Amino acid sequence: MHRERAEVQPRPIDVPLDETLLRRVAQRDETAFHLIYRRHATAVMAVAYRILGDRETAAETTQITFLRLWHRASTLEPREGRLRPWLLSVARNAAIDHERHRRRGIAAFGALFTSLPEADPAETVIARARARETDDLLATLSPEQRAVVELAYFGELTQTEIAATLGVPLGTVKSRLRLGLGHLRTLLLAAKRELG
Amino acid sequence: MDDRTAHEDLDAFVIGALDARERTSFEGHLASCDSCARGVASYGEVMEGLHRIATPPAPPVPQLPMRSLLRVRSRAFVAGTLAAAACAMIVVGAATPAYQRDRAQTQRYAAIALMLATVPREVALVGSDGVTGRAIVGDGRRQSGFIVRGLAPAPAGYVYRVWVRGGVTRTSPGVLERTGNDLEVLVTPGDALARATSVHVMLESASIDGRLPRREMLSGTIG
Repeated sequence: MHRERAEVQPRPIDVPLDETLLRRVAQRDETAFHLIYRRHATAVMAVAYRILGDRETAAETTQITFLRLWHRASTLEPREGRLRPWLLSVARNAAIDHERHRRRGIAAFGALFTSLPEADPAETVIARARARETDDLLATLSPEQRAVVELAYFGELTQTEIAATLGVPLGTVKSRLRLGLGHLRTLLLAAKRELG
Repeated sequence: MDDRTAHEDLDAFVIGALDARERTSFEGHLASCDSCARGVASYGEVMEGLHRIATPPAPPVPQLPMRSLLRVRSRAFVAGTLAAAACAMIVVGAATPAYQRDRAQTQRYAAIALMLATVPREVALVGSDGVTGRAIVGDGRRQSGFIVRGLAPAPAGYVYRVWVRGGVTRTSPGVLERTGNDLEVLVTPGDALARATSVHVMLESASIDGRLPRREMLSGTIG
């Protein structure tokens, strides 16, 4: 069993490449910006959500990421396969920063008030409950393994793009994928045996 | 691709992290490698598990700033605008009503967390019977917050109003609102403690012309 990448499907000739759209965005073409957004927003949202665990903040992070693209498009090199890694890198950094600040804030808040609730009012849906099992399993990965698995699966990056995004050698990405997925497989098999 | 390289790509193949050339190459290898075929099959449950993880849909396309501003303003202005927009979005929010339950409360917590995370100015508030609180100004003095713990719910017709004294003036930035975990919280824009000498939380009539008796619940002095 393996996951098919979206790019397996032949690209219609009238669908512009990311590089073309990026050049147009640099010239303040809002239509091009919207096309880029439609193409990559789901992956950006998914990666931000995996880090933040909060739908609302992930949505804000996604929008901030694309606003940053709008402002910086003219400084980006329009080369094939570079846009999504750049977007995910910006989103990851913004999400990690936000999460760090949030934790520091809540830690300081908690020093005075110990019962600050986790604000998660909209997440008690059935889908989340069903996902809980694997979600929790992902949390058992090391942060490094988890980042690689999430960028591959939710961000839909190739292993080469992940290496560039995280600034690590390709061999390290392969190794983290192997260890991470292997760990998940072991845990899921153990859980299955336990359930009989 | 030699066999060793191909084996190393098994995990990336399973999770869809090979590019088109690598994938074609691995699929060629897979047709003749029983070990890799078994390896791919062994990941069935992992992939099914990943499929089950719910990911919320992306938000609407963000509204772009006006072109004229972008063309004439400096990069510093743009950066500042972005930062301000980010803060506003975090505090005020830009989400759809589908997930706005308890949103006001969440916003207040987020705003206070943001203030506390940015080295705030703080004033301790002390009341009787173990009631404690804190007045804070943070986020680059763009916001102020008042948080109190230990107050009983305000009786009907009453509110807990915050007052800030400075010299001979007295102003009220607003009324505390009760949150889901028995805290009373007020978040207000700007530096509410500028030129202030003391902060007071009063139990008083909810209406401006109310004739109900007032009572001070907490206070703090600004050194």
